[in-house]
Amino acid sequence: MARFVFSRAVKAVLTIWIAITATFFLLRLLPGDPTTLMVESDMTPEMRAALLKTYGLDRPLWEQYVSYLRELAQGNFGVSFRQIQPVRDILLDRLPWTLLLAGTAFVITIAVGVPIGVYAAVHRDSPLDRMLQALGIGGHALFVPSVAMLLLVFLGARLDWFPIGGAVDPDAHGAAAYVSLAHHLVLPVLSLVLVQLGPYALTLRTNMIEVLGEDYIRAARARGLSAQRRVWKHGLRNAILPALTLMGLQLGTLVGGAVLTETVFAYPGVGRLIYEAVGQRDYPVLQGAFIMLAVTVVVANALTDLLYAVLNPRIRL
Amino acid sequence: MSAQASTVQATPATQLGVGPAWRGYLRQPTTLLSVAVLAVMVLVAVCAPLIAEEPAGTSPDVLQPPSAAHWFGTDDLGQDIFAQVIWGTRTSLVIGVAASLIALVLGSAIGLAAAYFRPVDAVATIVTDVKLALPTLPLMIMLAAVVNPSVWTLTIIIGVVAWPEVARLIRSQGLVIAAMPYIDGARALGASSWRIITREILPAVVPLMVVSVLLTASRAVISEAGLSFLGLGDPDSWSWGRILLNAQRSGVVALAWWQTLFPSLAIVLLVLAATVAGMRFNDTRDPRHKGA
Amino acid sequence: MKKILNGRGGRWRGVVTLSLAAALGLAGCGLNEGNSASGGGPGDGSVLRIGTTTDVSNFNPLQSLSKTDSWILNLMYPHLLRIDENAKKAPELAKSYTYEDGGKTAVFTLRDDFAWSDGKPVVAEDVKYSAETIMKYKLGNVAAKLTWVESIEAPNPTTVKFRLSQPYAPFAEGVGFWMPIVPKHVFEKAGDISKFANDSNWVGAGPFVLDSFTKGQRYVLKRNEKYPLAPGGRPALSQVEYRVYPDVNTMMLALRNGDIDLMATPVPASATKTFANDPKIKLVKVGALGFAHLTYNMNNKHLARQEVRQALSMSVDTKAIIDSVLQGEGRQMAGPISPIFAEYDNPEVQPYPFDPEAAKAKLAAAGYKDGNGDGFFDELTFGVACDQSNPNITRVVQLFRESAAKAGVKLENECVERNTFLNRTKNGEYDIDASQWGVFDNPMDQLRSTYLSSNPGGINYNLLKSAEMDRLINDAAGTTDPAALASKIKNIDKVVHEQAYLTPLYVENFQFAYNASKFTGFVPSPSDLLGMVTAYSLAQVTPVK
Repeated sequence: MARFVFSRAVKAVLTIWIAITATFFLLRLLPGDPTTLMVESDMTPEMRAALLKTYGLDRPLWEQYVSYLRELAQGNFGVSFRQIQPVRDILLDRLPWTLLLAGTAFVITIAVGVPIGVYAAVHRDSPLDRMLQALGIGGHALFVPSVAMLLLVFLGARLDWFPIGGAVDPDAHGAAAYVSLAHHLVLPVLSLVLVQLGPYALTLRTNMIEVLGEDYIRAARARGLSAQRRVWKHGLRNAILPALTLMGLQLGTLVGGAVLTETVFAYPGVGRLIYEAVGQRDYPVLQGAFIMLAVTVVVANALTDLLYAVLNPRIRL
Repeated sequence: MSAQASTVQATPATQLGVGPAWRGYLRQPTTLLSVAVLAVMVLVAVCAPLIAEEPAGTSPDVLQPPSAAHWFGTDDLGQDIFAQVIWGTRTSLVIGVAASLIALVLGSAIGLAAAYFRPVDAVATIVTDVKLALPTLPLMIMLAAVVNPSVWTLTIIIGVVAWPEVARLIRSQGLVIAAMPYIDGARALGASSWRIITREILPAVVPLMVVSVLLTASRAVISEAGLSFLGLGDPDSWSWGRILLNAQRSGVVALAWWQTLFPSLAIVLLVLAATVAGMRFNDTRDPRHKGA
Repeated sequence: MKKILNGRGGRWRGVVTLSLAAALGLAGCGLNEGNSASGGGPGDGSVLRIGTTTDVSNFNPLQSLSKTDSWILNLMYPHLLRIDENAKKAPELAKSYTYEDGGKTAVFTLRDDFAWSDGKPVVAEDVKYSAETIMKYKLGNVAAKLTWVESIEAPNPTTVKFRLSQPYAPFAEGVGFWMPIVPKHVFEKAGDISKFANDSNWVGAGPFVLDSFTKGQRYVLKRNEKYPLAPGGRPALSQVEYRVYPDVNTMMLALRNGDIDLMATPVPASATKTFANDPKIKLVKVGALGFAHLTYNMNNKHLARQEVRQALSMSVDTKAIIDSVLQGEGRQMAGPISPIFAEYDNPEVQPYPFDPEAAKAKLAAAGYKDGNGDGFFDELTFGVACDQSNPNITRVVQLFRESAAKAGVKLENECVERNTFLNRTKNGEYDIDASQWGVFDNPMDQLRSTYLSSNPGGINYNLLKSAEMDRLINDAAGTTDPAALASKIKNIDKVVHEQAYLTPLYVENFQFAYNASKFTGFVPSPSDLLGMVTAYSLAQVTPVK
């Protein structure tokens, strides 16, 4: 077991390091540097050189890389090119919103998806099951911005049930603030969940069906275990882990998909920050955001793998 | 070793007959419907010039709702949205299929190699995991910003980002096959690795490849729509994502619901059809899922 | 279903609730407003809420470059001059300015009634300090305008003298309009100004001063009790808020919904109908201080020929573009000088007519042939580069491609992501550049920056190296007599037009939407950089009774 944990940890660290390095060099490949945005001014070559020096962009690539790693080890993500603010502060300002958005969508998808998937598996070919199959496949096909804009226009503008954009009402305090927070969260989370829920429940159902057909479940029935115990204690435990792992893998997509949602709903998260930072060639912010997201996903994956190993000794080798 | 989880799973080697399965495949109404939809879409893509004129120029009928003259309404330049959607089918299909082929070739090569050669497996797993750890859309955004946007660069980017999932799939199936005793037998008889992979393992994973092409293609269509919507697509060719982008950029989303609705429906239709076709095909090749 | 949700399901629900609670708790840290907590609505007066599409990236006025930054910072930090409704320079902090010494010294006389929000008066030393700091650290886009300054003097609190190494007539207007004035007594404590974030404890002399902000969401500015340019010396609004909506569609919905009162971002031309049925929303129109254009790279051997450029100028249907892309909200232009600068615009210069047939004939006469019969002249294929985030220009390129095809010229759409586009432009990697000038506040500055072979501004997109043009421009630059200057500029206007170095497309009208049932009194200025939200304008706004 210890060896397993160790090897997973090493793999996680390696993954993160490769992610950091890859983004570092890839970003330097992008045409242009931060000074190109200042081209509308009367900038002389000397001024440009001075600016590049301030950003440290005049040193050889290798040197920049090493010094970046060194800073990172000390928890210093550098200073944003555009905002004269430490990257860490910028990220910490916006990361909670993305985590809130993606996290809530994640939790709701699992919370609603699991019972539906289990029910559909147990009651195969029932009307609910058929509907789920349709929704599951349909969900894959939905395009997030379309769903988001639709929700915004109808539920937000026409019916006026929900606020138009933003994360919270800035003038609310205390308990009212939490209410406002939840109120603003509904539409963005709904957009993400509508797209994710169907496919997720469908996967769970498929896994459940397979598990329920396994010999040890039949053996359990022969032993007289109630349907409920069979389904929940033995069946679900084995089916949910792949489903959890799947969610862990999809975290990258979920967070990336939040870019589109955050734009439509003016939600101040990291996804939108990445898109803006690309446009502004703000390397430190981009790198920092990527690293944070990669770390989140890697850690989530490692945890789910660990969980899987704990509960299913068969794969620990 | 991470757990395998997807709607498509590795099949025991004993149940891989394909031939007579075709008839059974098409017998189900949903399957027939989705294959028909796919066929229609391909037809539309090929015959686009015959169905509608290439969207061009301006006209005074700006932002008209759907009517007899303009089935899908018009946009802010007065262009016919029906024509835009028809021509968009071309781009979306081309990118979807081409990207998934790229992912297929790359993913299968790596997946098969990983299934058969242990050292390759170690490296491949790490590379795949790293790829999967990076959030997809932001990664594609960065790549798309580096290159000149065109149908081909977009195709390559989407294909390159999609191969890890294909590789995983092929690898897991390949592992099942590679563990079969008859493979050991073949090796004992002196067959080269190349022969074993191409003659024994590859044919066994072909059905899985078909499935993965369909599923990857549908994901690729969505990725392309996303990139075009963010303005990173090819500005010269019509695509569904571009129609959505035009609506968003011109500020007419709330005003002209038709400009957002019809391309979205087209995306849903294509992806739905491809996914159903793929999943039903998967069901036929693996009897365990029959009726599931 | 019930069976599943009880029992084991109960534990399930517990886990879910806990996770949700944890997630909400996480957001607790995001709920803290940046600095001071604003305690709800103000007592008297009203709060004007303004929508913008981008976040503030830099609070340092000497350095920041984005539009949103300038909207907010210009409410706090005064300029010497402002631009009024007629695109003319008007006094703000400076009462007047003159030239001495044959044009080599510019003298500003300041008002004595501006005061910083901490009580200290705004004095000439602040102006001197601002300029010197910009020169020392080479900050922002004003640094280049100060290159000829040899020294600055502040002989008394209301006089500032700039001594130049050579006379330059537009100096005073350029520096007066673009340079923000910062409080010396606050900024000099900051050390290296190029690293000064200025993100708290703001001290300003404009009508409103920043009080607090939540990054990515809201910026709150409170009234400055003493602002001489407001009626009665005090702005009627007690608070101005900027709210960030990255998507303009969402912002328009917010305005209709009453979540904001004014959109600082102009309403896209195609979307103005959105407000047609809403009686409380009013649209205000202003002209642009820049213009849209197609500029030809002279390094391309075909574009270096006058006939080719002229033919291209005849292959773009500017009227149709204005009608469809701008929905009629724009004016045609003939030469490089915008009609908004009435005294410099040459009325003799007429735009090239839209005539693809004649263009084709011209090209044929110039010796181009269509050897392979595909309808295009064999050697005339050009790439048109543009910033694809600009909705109007991308439509223009699309239409230009189609109409140029009728003249036998093949164009390829090379509209790319914004930064890639800017980079390409800088490196001259394009054949035809389709873009939009933002603000030219001064035709002389504009001509110097765009046509001098030494390319001092970096925006000579023609990559033109013409001794004749250099001579004409430098001659005009040294002219201090206003009448002579005007006629020289008109002449250059004509020359550029004949040479067709560029095809000017249009001067667009921007439309701004606001809630007229709640507020009134805006004084709009031209260009989307100024629009409705200049310091002067917001100081005049009053709530509707």
